[in-house]
Amino acid sequence: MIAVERLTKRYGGFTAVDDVSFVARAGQVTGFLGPNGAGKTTTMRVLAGLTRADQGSATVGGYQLHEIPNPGRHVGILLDASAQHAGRTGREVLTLAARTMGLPDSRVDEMLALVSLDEAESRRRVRNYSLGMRQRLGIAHALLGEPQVLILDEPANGLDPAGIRWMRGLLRGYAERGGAVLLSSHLLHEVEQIADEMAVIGRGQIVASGTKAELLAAAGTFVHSADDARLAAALSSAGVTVTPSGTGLVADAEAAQVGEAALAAGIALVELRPSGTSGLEDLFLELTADTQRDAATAAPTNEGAFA
Amino acid sequence: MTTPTLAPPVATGGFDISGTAPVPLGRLARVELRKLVDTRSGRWLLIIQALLIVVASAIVVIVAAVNDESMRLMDFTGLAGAVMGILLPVMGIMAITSEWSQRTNMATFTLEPRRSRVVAAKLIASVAAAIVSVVLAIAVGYLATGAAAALGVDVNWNADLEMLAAFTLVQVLGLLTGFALGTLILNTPGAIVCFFAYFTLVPVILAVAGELMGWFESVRPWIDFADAQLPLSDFGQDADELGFAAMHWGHFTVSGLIWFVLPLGAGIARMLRAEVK
Repeated sequence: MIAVERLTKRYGGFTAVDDVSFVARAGQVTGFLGPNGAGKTTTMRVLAGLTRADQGSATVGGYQLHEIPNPGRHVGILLDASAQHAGRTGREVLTLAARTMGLPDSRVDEMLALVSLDEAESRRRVRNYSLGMRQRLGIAHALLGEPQVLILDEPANGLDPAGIRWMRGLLRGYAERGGAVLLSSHLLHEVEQIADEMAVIGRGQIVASGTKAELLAAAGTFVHSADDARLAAALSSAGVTVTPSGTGLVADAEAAQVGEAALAAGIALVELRPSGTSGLEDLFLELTADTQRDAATAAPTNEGAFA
Repeated sequence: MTTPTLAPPVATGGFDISGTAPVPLGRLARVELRKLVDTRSGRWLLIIQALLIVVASAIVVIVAAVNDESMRLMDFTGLAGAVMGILLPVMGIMAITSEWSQRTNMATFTLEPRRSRVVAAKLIASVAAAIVSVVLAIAVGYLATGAAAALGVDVNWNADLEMLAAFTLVQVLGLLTGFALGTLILNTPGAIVCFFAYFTLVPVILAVAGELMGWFESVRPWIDFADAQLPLSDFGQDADELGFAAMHWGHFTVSGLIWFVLPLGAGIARMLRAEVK
Protein backbone atom coordinates (compact mmCIF):
# COMPACT_ATOMS: atom_id res chain seq x y z
CA MET A 1 0.00 0.00 0.00
CA ILE A 2 2.81 2.36 0.89
CA ALA A 3 5.84 2.12 -1.36
CA VAL A 4 9.03 4.05 -0.83
CA GLU A 5 11.38 3.48 -3.74
CA ARG A 6 14.99 4.56 -3.89
CA LEU A 7 14.13 7.74 -2.04
CA THR A 8 16.90 10.29 -1.56
CA LYS A 9 16.68 13.68 0.11
CA ARG A 10 19.61 16.00 0.64
CA TYR A 11 19.93 19.18 2.62
CA GLY A 12 22.95 20.95 1.27
CA GLY A 13 25.80 18.51 1.75
CA PHE A 14 23.88 16.40 4.24
CA THR A 15 22.01 13.36 2.94
CA ALA A 16 19.05 12.90 5.27
CA VAL A 17 17.56 9.99 3.33
CA ASP A 18 19.86 7.92 1.15
CA ASP A 19 18.36 5.54 -1.44
CA VAL A 20 15.69 4.22 0.92
CA SER A 21 13.24 1.55 -0.24
CA PHE A 22 10.60 -0.35 1.71
CA VAL A 23 6.91 -1.17 1.56
CA ALA A 24 4.05 -1.23 4.05
CA ARG A 25 1.31 -3.70 3.17
CA ALA A 26 -2.44 -3.64 3.75
CA GLY A 27 -3.49 -5.62 6.82
CA GLN A 28 -0.15 -5.12 8.49
CA VAL A 29 1.53 -2.79 10.91
CA THR A 30 4.92 -1.80 9.58
CA GLY A 31 7.37 -0.39 12.07
CA PHE A 32 9.87 2.17 10.87
CA LEU A 33 12.64 1.99 13.37
CA GLY A 34 15.73 4.06 13.82
CA PRO A 35 17.55 6.41 16.16
CA ASN A 36 16.72 10.09 16.22
CA GLY A 37 17.97 11.89 13.14
CA ALA A 38 18.14 8.70 11.08
CA GLY A 39 15.75 9.98 8.39
CA LYS A 40 12.41 8.54 9.55
CA THR A 41 10.59 11.85 9.73
CA THR A 42 12.03 13.11 6.45
CA THR A 43 10.81 9.94 4.71
CA MET A 44 7.34 10.34 6.20
CA ARG A 45 7.25 14.01 5.28
CA VAL A 46 7.94 13.12 1.65
CA LEU A 47 5.05 10.62 1.83
CA ALA A 48 2.86 13.42 3.20
CA GLY A 49 3.84 15.76 0.36
CA LEU A 50 5.41 18.31 2.71
CA THR A 51 8.98 17.74 1.51
CA ARG A 52 10.14 17.20 -2.04
CA ALA A 53 12.22 14.16 -2.86
CA ASP A 54 15.49 14.74 -4.71
CA GLN A 55 15.35 11.26 -6.22
CA GLY A 56 13.04 8.29 -6.02
CA SER A 57 9.44 8.26 -4.94
CA ALA A 58 7.16 7.74 -1.97
CA THR A 59 3.63 6.73 -2.87
CA VAL A 60 0.43 5.50 -1.27
CA GLY A 61 -1.55 3.03 -3.36
CA GLY A 62 0.63 4.02 -6.31
CA TYR A 63 -0.19 7.72 -6.01
CA GLN A 64 1.62 10.73 -4.67
CA LEU A 65 -0.51 12.41 -2.04
CA HIS A 66 -1.41 15.38 -4.25
CA GLU A 67 -2.84 13.02 -6.85
CA ILE A 68 -5.36 11.64 -4.37
CA PRO A 69 -8.68 13.54 -4.28
CA ASN A 70 -9.73 14.51 -0.75
CA PRO A 71 -6.68 12.66 0.59
CA GLY A 72 -7.88 12.77 4.19
CA ARG A 73 -10.49 10.15 3.23
CA HIS A 74 -7.76 7.75 2.12
CA VAL A 75 -4.60 8.48 4.09
CA GLY A 76 -4.52 9.41 7.77
CA ILE A 77 -1.38 11.32 8.70
CA LEU A 78 0.07 12.26 12.08
CA LEU A 79 3.51 13.80 11.78
CA ASP A 80 3.71 16.10 14.78
CA ALA A 81 1.05 16.13 17.46
CA SER A 82 2.22 19.54 18.64
CA ALA A 83 1.66 21.17 15.25
CA GLN A 84 -1.80 22.42 16.13
CA HIS A 85 -2.94 25.97 16.83
CA ALA A 86 -2.44 26.38 20.57
CA GLY A 87 -5.51 28.62 20.78
CA ARG A 88 -7.97 26.18 19.24
CA THR A 89 -9.84 23.60 21.24
CA GLY A 90 -9.30 19.94 20.44
CA ARG A 91 -12.87 19.78 19.20
CA GLU A 92 -12.32 22.76 16.89
CA VAL A 93 -9.18 21.17 15.41
CA LEU A 94 -11.18 18.08 14.49
CA THR A 95 -14.16 20.13 13.30
CA LEU A 96 -11.97 22.04 10.81
CA ALA A 97 -10.61 18.77 9.43
CA ALA A 98 -14.06 17.15 9.29
CA ARG A 99 -15.49 20.16 7.42
CA THR A 100 -12.56 20.13 4.99
CA MET A 101 -13.21 16.47 4.22
CA GLY A 102 -16.95 17.04 3.98
CA LEU A 103 -17.78 14.86 6.98
CA PRO A 104 -20.64 15.51 9.40
CA ASP A 105 -19.72 17.06 12.76
CA SER A 106 -21.01 13.90 14.47
CA ARG A 107 -17.84 12.21 13.22
CA VAL A 108 -15.88 14.52 15.53
CA ASP A 109 -17.73 13.19 18.58
CA GLU A 110 -17.15 9.61 17.45
CA MET A 111 -13.41 10.21 17.14
CA LEU A 112 -13.20 12.03 20.47
CA ALA A 113 -14.89 9.02 22.09
CA LEU A 114 -12.55 6.66 20.26
CA VAL A 115 -9.44 8.33 21.65
CA SER A 116 -11.02 8.83 25.10
CA LEU A 117 -10.97 12.62 25.17
CA ASP A 118 -14.04 13.57 27.19
CA GLU A 119 -16.40 16.48 26.61
CA ALA A 120 -14.61 18.86 28.98
CA GLU A 121 -11.18 17.99 27.58
CA SER A 122 -12.36 18.46 24.01
CA ARG A 123 -13.38 22.03 24.86
CA ARG A 124 -10.00 22.92 26.32
CA ARG A 125 -7.47 24.75 24.19
CA VAL A 126 -4.68 22.60 22.79
CA ARG A 127 -2.23 24.88 24.66
CA ASN A 128 -3.43 23.20 27.87
CA TYR A 129 -3.10 19.65 26.57
CA SER A 130 -0.43 17.27 27.79
CA LEU A 131 1.71 15.64 25.10
CA GLY A 132 -0.28 12.45 25.61
CA MET A 133 -3.55 14.27 24.98
CA ARG A 134 -2.09 15.89 21.87
CA GLN A 135 -1.09 12.45 20.59
CA ARG A 136 -4.63 11.20 21.16
CA LEU A 137 -6.00 14.24 19.35
CA GLY A 138 -3.52 13.64 16.52
CA ILE A 139 -4.58 10.01 16.22
CA ALA A 140 -8.24 11.11 16.16
CA HIS A 141 -7.31 13.62 13.44
CA ALA A 142 -5.62 10.91 11.39
CA LEU A 143 -8.54 8.46 11.74
CA LEU A 144 -11.25 11.06 11.10
CA GLY A 145 -11.69 10.35 7.39
CA GLU A 146 -11.81 6.55 7.79
CA PRO A 147 -8.62 6.18 5.76
CA GLN A 148 -7.27 2.88 4.45
CA VAL A 149 -3.70 3.92 5.24
CA LEU A 150 -2.23 5.42 8.40
CA ILE A 151 1.13 7.20 8.55
CA LEU A 152 2.12 7.97 12.13
CA ASP A 153 5.40 9.54 13.22
CA GLU A 154 6.33 8.56 16.77
CA PRO A 155 2.69 8.15 17.81
CA ALA A 156 3.58 6.65 21.20
CA ASN A 157 5.61 9.71 22.26
CA GLY A 158 4.15 11.14 25.43
CA LEU A 159 1.61 8.38 25.95
CA ASP A 160 1.63 6.69 29.34
CA PRO A 161 1.98 2.87 29.46
CA ALA A 162 -1.81 2.44 29.47
CA GLY A 163 -2.02 4.81 26.52
CA ILE A 164 0.63 2.89 24.60
CA ARG A 165 -1.26 -0.33 25.23
CA TRP A 166 -4.48 1.30 24.07
CA MET A 167 -2.83 2.54 20.88
CA ARG A 168 -1.35 -0.87 20.21
CA GLY A 169 -4.82 -2.44 20.41
CA LEU A 170 -6.27 0.30 18.22
CA LEU A 171 -3.67 -0.07 15.47
CA ARG A 172 -3.77 -3.89 15.58
CA GLY A 173 -7.53 -3.77 15.17
CA TYR A 174 -7.15 -1.30 12.35
CA ALA A 175 -4.66 -3.53 10.52
CA GLU A 176 -6.78 -6.63 11.08
CA ARG A 177 -9.63 -4.86 9.31
CA GLY A 178 -7.42 -4.46 6.27
CA GLY A 179 -5.78 -1.11 6.88
CA ALA A 180 -2.11 -0.44 6.31
CA VAL A 181 -0.19 1.20 9.14
CA LEU A 182 3.25 2.73 8.93
CA LEU A 183 4.50 3.94 12.27
CA SER A 184 7.90 5.20 13.23
CA SER A 185 9.69 4.95 16.51
CA HIS A 186 13.15 5.24 17.95
CA LEU A 187 12.28 2.66 20.59
CA LEU A 188 12.75 -0.94 19.54
CA HIS A 189 10.57 -2.27 22.32
CA GLU A 190 7.61 -0.23 21.14
CA VAL A 191 7.83 -1.34 17.53
CA GLU A 192 8.56 -4.94 18.39
CA GLN A 193 5.32 -5.26 20.33
CA ILE A 194 3.08 -3.95 17.60
CA ALA A 195 4.69 -4.35 14.18
CA ASP A 196 4.38 -7.32 11.84
CA GLU A 197 7.10 -6.01 9.61
CA MET A 198 9.98 -3.70 10.28
CA ALA A 199 12.28 -1.46 8.37
CA VAL A 200 15.31 -0.34 10.35
CA ILE A 201 16.96 2.90 9.27
CA GLY A 202 20.28 4.34 10.38
CA ARG A 203 22.00 7.46 9.05
CA GLY A 204 19.57 7.74 6.16
CA GLN A 205 19.92 4.16 4.96
CA ILE A 206 17.82 1.06 5.46
CA VAL A 207 20.03 -1.33 7.40
CA ALA A 208 17.55 -4.18 7.86
CA SER A 209 13.99 -4.97 6.88
CA GLY A 210 11.63 -7.91 6.91
CA THR A 211 9.08 -9.61 9.10
CA LYS A 212 9.63 -9.70 12.80
CA ALA A 213 10.28 -13.46 12.61
CA GLU A 214 12.95 -12.95 9.97
CA LEU A 215 14.68 -10.28 11.99
CA LEU A 216 14.46 -12.41 15.13
CA ALA A 217 15.99 -15.36 13.28
CA ALA A 218 18.77 -13.11 12.10
CA ALA A 219 19.40 -12.26 15.72
CA GLY A 220 20.49 -15.85 16.43
CA THR A 221 19.73 -18.57 18.95
CA PHE A 222 20.19 -18.49 22.69
CA VAL A 223 21.55 -21.72 24.13
CA HIS A 224 22.48 -22.85 27.62
CA SER A 225 23.89 -26.30 28.26
CA ALA A 226 25.54 -28.50 30.88
CA ASP A 227 28.93 -27.40 29.51
CA ASP A 228 28.77 -24.11 27.64
CA ALA A 229 32.52 -23.87 27.14
CA ARG A 230 32.67 -27.20 25.29
CA LEU A 231 29.51 -26.35 23.32
CA ALA A 232 31.02 -23.03 22.29
CA ALA A 233 34.10 -24.85 21.01
CA ALA A 234 31.95 -27.39 19.17
CA LEU A 235 29.91 -24.64 17.51
CA SER A 236 32.98 -22.64 16.61
CA SER A 237 34.56 -25.65 14.95
CA ALA A 238 31.32 -26.04 12.96
CA GLY A 239 31.83 -22.49 11.72
CA VAL A 240 29.15 -20.85 13.89
CA THR A 241 29.93 -17.55 15.56
CA VAL A 242 29.28 -17.73 19.29
CA THR A 243 29.12 -14.94 21.84
CA PRO A 244 28.57 -15.31 25.57
CA SER A 245 25.26 -13.85 26.69
CA GLY A 246 23.99 -13.86 30.26
CA THR A 247 23.76 -17.42 31.57
CA GLY A 248 24.51 -18.96 28.18
CA LEU A 249 25.54 -18.28 24.62
CA VAL A 250 24.09 -16.66 21.55
CA ALA A 251 24.87 -18.64 18.43
CA ASP A 252 24.57 -17.07 15.01
CA ALA A 253 22.66 -20.08 13.68
CA GLU A 254 19.22 -21.66 13.71
CA ALA A 255 18.08 -23.69 16.71
CA ALA A 256 18.19 -27.00 14.78
CA GLN A 257 21.82 -26.53 13.85
CA VAL A 258 22.76 -25.70 17.45
CA GLY A 259 20.82 -28.76 18.69
CA GLU A 260 22.60 -31.04 16.25
CA ALA A 261 26.00 -29.67 17.26
CA ALA A 262 25.14 -30.33 20.92
CA LEU A 263 23.96 -33.86 20.15
CA ALA A 264 27.09 -34.64 18.15
CA ALA A 265 29.25 -33.39 21.02
CA GLY A 266 27.13 -35.25 23.57
CA ILE A 267 26.28 -32.15 25.62
CA ALA A 268 22.90 -31.96 27.38
CA LEU A 269 20.95 -28.81 26.57
CA VAL A 270 19.27 -26.82 29.32
CA GLU A 271 17.78 -24.06 27.22
CA LEU A 272 17.39 -23.52 23.46
CA ARG A 273 15.34 -20.68 21.93
CA PRO A 274 15.49 -17.77 19.53
CA SER A 275 17.53 -15.12 21.26
CA GLY A 276 14.40 -12.97 21.00
CA THR A 277 14.01 -9.54 22.46
CA SER A 278 17.51 -9.14 23.74
CA GLY A 279 18.90 -10.44 20.48
CA LEU A 280 16.85 -8.02 18.44
CA GLU A 281 17.93 -5.23 20.72
CA ASP A 282 21.55 -6.20 20.20
CA LEU A 283 20.86 -6.27 16.49
CA PHE A 284 19.28 -2.83 16.62
CA LEU A 285 22.14 -1.37 18.61
CA GLU A 286 24.66 -3.04 16.37
CA LEU A 287 22.95 -1.92 13.18
CA THR A 288 22.74 1.60 14.38
CA ALA A 289 25.88 1.70 16.50
CA ASP A 290 27.87 3.93 14.21
CA THR A 291 24.88 6.21 13.76
CA GLN A 292 24.26 6.74 17.44
CA ARG A 293 25.18 10.09 18.88
CA ASP A 294 26.41 8.42 22.07
CA ALA A 295 28.79 6.21 20.15
CA ALA A 296 30.17 8.88 17.87
CA THR A 297 30.92 12.11 19.64
CA ALA A 298 32.17 13.61 16.41
CA ALA A 299 28.76 13.23 14.77
CA PRO A 300 27.47 16.44 13.20
CA THR A 301 25.43 18.29 15.78
CA ASN A 302 22.91 19.66 13.32
CA GLU A 303 21.70 16.19 12.43
CA GLY A 304 18.79 16.43 14.80
CA ALA A 305 17.35 19.33 12.85
CA PHE A 306 16.26 16.92 10.18
CA ALA A 307 14.74 14.41 12.56
CA MET B 1 -10.65 1.97 28.73
CA THR B 2 -13.29 0.54 26.43
CA THR B 3 -12.52 -1.39 23.29
CA PRO B 4 -12.49 1.05 20.39
CA THR B 5 -15.34 0.64 17.95
CA LEU B 6 -13.53 1.70 14.85
CA ALA B 7 -15.41 1.67 11.58
CA PRO B 8 -13.62 -0.76 9.25
CA PRO B 9 -11.47 0.80 6.57
CA VAL B 10 -13.12 0.54 3.19
CA ALA B 11 -10.46 -1.21 1.21
CA THR B 12 -9.28 -4.77 1.69
CA GLY B 13 -6.24 -4.94 -0.49
CA GLY B 14 -7.22 -2.41 -3.13
CA PHE B 15 -6.82 1.33 -2.87
CA ASP B 16 -9.66 2.80 -4.88
CA ILE B 17 -9.77 6.56 -5.24
CA SER B 18 -12.02 6.65 -8.30
CA GLY B 19 -15.17 7.27 -6.27
CA THR B 20 -13.78 10.18 -4.26
CA ALA B 21 -14.59 13.72 -5.28
CA PRO B 22 -11.92 16.37 -4.74
CA VAL B 23 -12.48 18.92 -2.00
CA PRO B 24 -14.57 21.71 -3.60
CA LEU B 25 -13.05 25.19 -3.44
CA GLY B 26 -16.19 26.58 -1.76
CA ARG B 27 -15.83 24.11 1.09
CA LEU B 28 -12.17 25.01 1.52
CA ALA B 29 -13.09 28.71 1.55
CA ARG B 30 -15.74 28.15 4.25
CA VAL B 31 -13.19 26.31 6.37
CA GLU B 32 -10.71 29.17 5.89
CA LEU B 33 -13.40 31.68 6.89
CA ARG B 34 -13.98 29.69 10.06
CA LYS B 35 -10.24 29.73 10.78
CA LEU B 36 -10.29 33.54 10.66
CA VAL B 37 -12.64 33.71 13.64
CA ASP B 38 -12.11 30.51 15.65
CA THR B 39 -9.03 31.70 17.53
CA ARG B 40 -8.81 34.44 20.12
CA SER B 41 -6.48 36.56 18.01
CA GLY B 42 -8.73 36.36 14.95
CA ARG B 43 -11.91 37.00 16.89
CA TRP B 44 -10.47 39.90 18.87
CA LEU B 45 -9.11 41.53 15.77
CA LEU B 46 -12.67 41.74 14.42
CA ILE B 47 -14.15 42.76 17.79
CA ILE B 48 -11.54 45.51 18.28
CA GLN B 49 -12.15 46.72 14.76
CA ALA B 50 -15.90 46.97 15.40
CA LEU B 51 -15.38 48.63 18.80
CA LEU B 52 -12.94 51.19 17.43
CA ILE B 53 -15.33 52.15 14.64
CA VAL B 54 -18.27 52.48 17.04
CA VAL B 55 -16.28 54.44 19.65
CA ALA B 56 -14.67 56.75 17.08
CA SER B 57 -18.06 57.41 15.46
CA ALA B 58 -19.63 58.14 18.87
CA ILE B 59 -16.88 60.64 19.70
CA VAL B 60 -17.33 62.38 16.35
CA VAL B 61 -21.11 62.53 16.86
CA ILE B 62 -20.66 64.08 20.33
CA VAL B 63 -18.05 66.57 19.14
CA ALA B 64 -20.25 67.56 16.21
CA ALA B 65 -23.27 67.98 18.51
CA VAL B 66 -21.33 70.08 21.03
CA ASN B 67 -19.68 72.28 18.39
CA ASP B 68 -22.88 72.52 16.35
CA GLU B 69 -21.15 71.32 13.17
CA SER B 70 -22.71 69.63 10.17
CA MET B 71 -21.95 65.97 9.36
CA ARG B 72 -22.18 63.84 6.23
CA LEU B 73 -22.90 60.12 6.11
CA MET B 74 -19.70 59.74 4.09
CA ASP B 75 -17.67 61.31 6.92
CA PHE B 76 -18.47 58.31 9.08
CA THR B 77 -17.62 55.92 6.27
CA GLY B 78 -14.26 57.64 5.91
CA LEU B 79 -13.70 57.35 9.64
CA ALA B 80 -14.44 53.60 9.58
CA GLY B 81 -12.10 53.35 6.60
CA ALA B 82 -9.25 54.79 8.64
CA VAL B 83 -9.72 52.05 11.25
CA MET B 84 -10.18 49.25 8.73
CA GLY B 85 -7.26 50.48 6.67
CA ILE B 86 -5.07 49.38 9.56
CA LEU B 87 -6.82 46.26 10.81
CA LEU B 88 -7.99 44.56 7.61
CA PRO B 89 -4.41 44.23 6.28
CA VAL B 90 -3.45 42.65 9.62
CA MET B 91 -6.27 40.17 9.12
CA GLY B 92 -4.97 39.44 5.62
CA ILE B 93 -1.48 38.92 7.01
CA MET B 94 -2.66 36.61 9.76
CA ALA B 95 -4.80 34.51 7.42
CA ILE B 96 -1.49 33.31 6.02
CA THR B 97 1.07 33.69 8.78
CA SER B 98 -0.82 32.17 11.71
CA GLU B 99 -0.81 28.82 9.91
CA TRP B 100 2.96 29.01 9.45
CA SER B 101 3.80 30.13 12.96
CA GLN B 102 1.43 27.62 14.57
CA ARG B 103 2.46 24.96 12.04
CA THR B 104 -1.16 24.07 11.32
CA ASN B 105 -0.24 24.19 7.65
CA MET B 106 1.04 20.63 8.08
CA ALA B 107 -2.56 19.52 8.64
CA THR B 108 -3.95 21.95 6.06
CA PHE B 109 -1.59 20.83 3.32
CA THR B 110 -1.99 17.13 3.98
CA LEU B 111 -5.78 17.48 3.73
CA GLU B 112 -5.41 19.53 0.52
CA PRO B 113 -1.92 19.01 -0.92
CA ARG B 114 -2.70 21.20 -3.93
CA ARG B 115 -1.49 24.28 -2.10
CA SER B 116 -2.63 26.74 -4.76
CA ARG B 117 -6.21 25.80 -3.89
CA VAL B 118 -5.55 26.50 -0.21
CA VAL B 119 -4.15 29.93 -1.14
CA ALA B 120 -7.18 30.61 -3.35
CA ALA B 121 -9.53 29.57 -0.52
CA LYS B 122 -7.71 31.89 1.90
CA LEU B 123 -7.96 34.72 -0.60
CA ILE B 124 -11.70 34.18 -1.05
CA ALA B 125 -12.27 33.94 2.71
CA SER B 126 -10.24 37.09 3.46
CA VAL B 127 -11.98 39.13 0.78
CA ALA B 128 -15.37 37.91 2.03
CA ALA B 129 -14.43 38.97 5.57
CA ALA B 130 -13.31 42.37 4.26
CA ILE B 131 -16.60 42.89 2.41
CA VAL B 132 -18.63 41.93 5.49
CA SER B 133 -16.53 44.42 7.51
CA VAL B 134 -17.18 47.15 4.94
CA VAL B 135 -20.94 46.51 4.99
CA LEU B 136 -20.99 46.63 8.79
CA ALA B 137 -18.90 49.82 8.75
CA ILE B 138 -21.38 51.47 6.37
CA ALA B 139 -24.23 50.34 8.64
CA VAL B 140 -22.45 51.92 11.63
CA GLY B 141 -22.16 55.09 9.53
CA TYR B 142 -25.95 55.18 9.06
CA LEU B 143 -26.52 54.64 12.78
CA ALA B 144 -24.02 57.39 13.65
CA THR B 145 -25.62 59.79 11.16
CA GLY B 146 -29.02 59.01 12.68
CA ALA B 147 -27.65 59.59 16.18
CA ALA B 148 -26.12 62.89 15.07
CA ALA B 149 -29.44 63.98 13.53
CA ALA B 150 -31.24 63.03 16.75
CA LEU B 151 -28.83 65.26 18.67
CA GLY B 152 -29.71 68.16 16.42
CA VAL B 153 -26.67 68.08 14.16
CA ASP B 154 -27.24 69.20 10.58
CA VAL B 155 -26.68 65.96 8.61
CA ASN B 156 -26.28 65.06 4.96
CA TRP B 157 -27.69 61.57 4.28
CA ASN B 158 -26.38 61.53 0.74
CA ALA B 159 -24.88 58.06 0.14
CA ASP B 160 -22.59 58.44 -2.83
CA LEU B 161 -22.72 54.99 -4.45
CA GLU B 162 -19.59 55.60 -6.46
CA MET B 163 -17.65 56.50 -3.33
CA LEU B 164 -19.07 53.52 -1.43
CA ALA B 165 -17.83 51.28 -4.24
CA ALA B 166 -14.45 53.08 -4.14
CA PHE B 167 -14.37 52.66 -0.36
CA THR B 168 -15.00 48.92 -0.68
CA LEU B 169 -12.33 48.57 -3.33
CA VAL B 170 -9.73 50.46 -1.28
CA GLN B 171 -10.42 48.34 1.80
CA VAL B 172 -10.20 45.08 -0.15
CA LEU B 173 -6.96 46.29 -1.76
CA GLY B 174 -5.54 47.10 1.68
CA LEU B 175 -6.38 43.62 2.90
CA LEU B 176 -4.87 42.07 -0.22
CA THR B 177 -1.65 44.07 0.25
CA GLY B 178 -1.41 42.59 3.75
CA PHE B 179 -2.18 39.16 2.35
CA ALA B 180 0.59 39.55 -0.22
CA LEU B 181 3.13 40.57 2.43
CA GLY B 182 1.96 37.63 4.56
CA THR B 183 2.68 35.15 1.78
CA LEU B 184 6.04 36.77 1.13
CA ILE B 185 7.26 36.96 4.74
CA LEU B 186 5.33 34.04 6.31
CA ASN B 187 5.83 35.49 9.78
CA THR B 188 3.23 37.54 11.67
CA PRO B 189 5.32 40.25 13.37
CA GLY B 190 7.64 40.58 10.38
CA ALA B 191 4.78 41.02 7.95
CA ILE B 192 2.95 43.49 10.22
CA VAL B 193 6.09 45.60 10.69
CA CYS B 194 6.68 45.50 6.96
CA PHE B 195 3.11 46.51 6.21
CA PHE B 196 3.25 49.54 8.53
CA ALA B 197 6.60 50.53 7.12
CA TYR B 198 4.96 50.46 3.69
CA PHE B 199 1.89 52.24 5.07
CA THR B 200 3.62 55.04 7.01
CA LEU B 201 7.29 55.28 6.03
CA VAL B 202 7.25 54.72 2.30
CA PRO B 203 4.96 57.68 1.48
CA VAL B 204 7.17 59.95 3.64
CA ILE B 205 10.38 58.69 2.08
CA LEU B 206 8.93 59.09 -1.40
CA ALA B 207 7.76 62.63 -0.58
CA VAL B 208 11.15 63.61 0.85
CA ALA B 209 12.94 62.07 -2.12
CA GLY B 210 10.66 64.07 -4.38
CA GLU B 211 11.58 67.26 -2.51
CA LEU B 212 15.30 66.57 -2.69
CA MET B 213 15.47 65.36 -6.25
CA GLY B 214 13.36 67.24 -8.73
CA TRP B 215 13.36 64.51 -11.34
CA PHE B 216 12.04 62.02 -8.77
CA GLU B 217 8.77 63.95 -8.49
CA SER B 218 7.85 62.75 -11.97
CA VAL B 219 8.69 59.14 -11.13
CA ARG B 220 6.94 59.11 -7.75
CA PRO B 221 3.30 58.79 -8.91
CA TRP B 222 4.27 55.60 -10.69
CA ILE B 223 5.66 53.96 -7.57
CA ASP B 224 3.44 55.37 -4.79
CA PHE B 225 0.54 52.94 -4.46
CA ALA B 226 -1.14 54.76 -1.56
CA ASP B 227 -1.00 58.04 -3.48
CA ALA B 228 -2.46 56.39 -6.56
CA GLN B 229 -5.50 55.33 -4.50
CA LEU B 230 -6.14 58.80 -3.04
CA PRO B 231 -9.05 59.69 -5.35
CA LEU B 232 -10.81 56.61 -3.96
CA SER B 233 -9.79 56.84 -0.33
CA ASP B 234 -9.64 60.51 0.69
CA PHE B 235 -13.25 61.70 0.95
CA GLY B 236 -12.16 65.16 2.08
CA GLN B 237 -10.93 66.21 -1.38
CA ASP B 238 -12.62 68.46 -3.86
CA ALA B 239 -15.21 66.75 -6.04
CA ASP B 240 -13.09 66.97 -9.18
CA GLU B 241 -10.24 65.07 -7.55
CA LEU B 242 -12.55 62.42 -6.14
CA GLY B 243 -13.90 59.20 -7.61
CA PHE B 244 -13.03 56.76 -10.35
CA ALA B 245 -12.93 59.48 -13.00
CA ALA B 246 -10.09 61.22 -11.13
CA MET B 247 -7.96 58.08 -11.03
CA HIS B 248 -4.71 57.91 -12.92
CA TRP B 249 -5.08 54.30 -13.92
CA GLY B 250 -1.56 54.09 -15.32
CA HIS B 251 -0.10 55.18 -11.95
CA PHE B 252 -2.46 52.83 -10.14
CA THR B 253 -1.54 49.85 -12.31
CA VAL B 254 2.22 50.36 -12.22
CA SER B 255 2.45 51.13 -8.49
CA GLY B 256 0.02 48.27 -7.78
CA LEU B 257 2.28 45.97 -9.75
CA ILE B 258 5.21 46.97 -7.55
CA TRP B 259 3.50 46.90 -4.15
CA PHE B 260 0.88 44.24 -4.63
CA VAL B 261 1.25 41.96 -7.64
CA LEU B 262 5.01 41.35 -7.33
CA PRO B 263 4.99 40.54 -3.58
CA LEU B 264 1.90 38.37 -4.01
CA GLY B 265 3.39 36.50 -6.95
CA ALA B 266 6.73 35.95 -5.22
CA GLY B 267 4.96 35.06 -1.97
CA ILE B 268 2.64 32.51 -3.56
CA ALA B 269 5.54 30.98 -5.48
CA ARG B 270 7.37 30.65 -2.18
CA MET B 271 4.38 29.16 -0.39
CA LEU B 272 3.79 26.58 -3.08
CA ARG B 273 7.40 25.40 -2.97
CA ALA B 274 8.34 25.86 0.67
CA GLU B 275 9.12 22.85 2.76
CA VAL B 276 6.53 22.79 5.51
CA LYS B 277 8.28 22.31 8.84
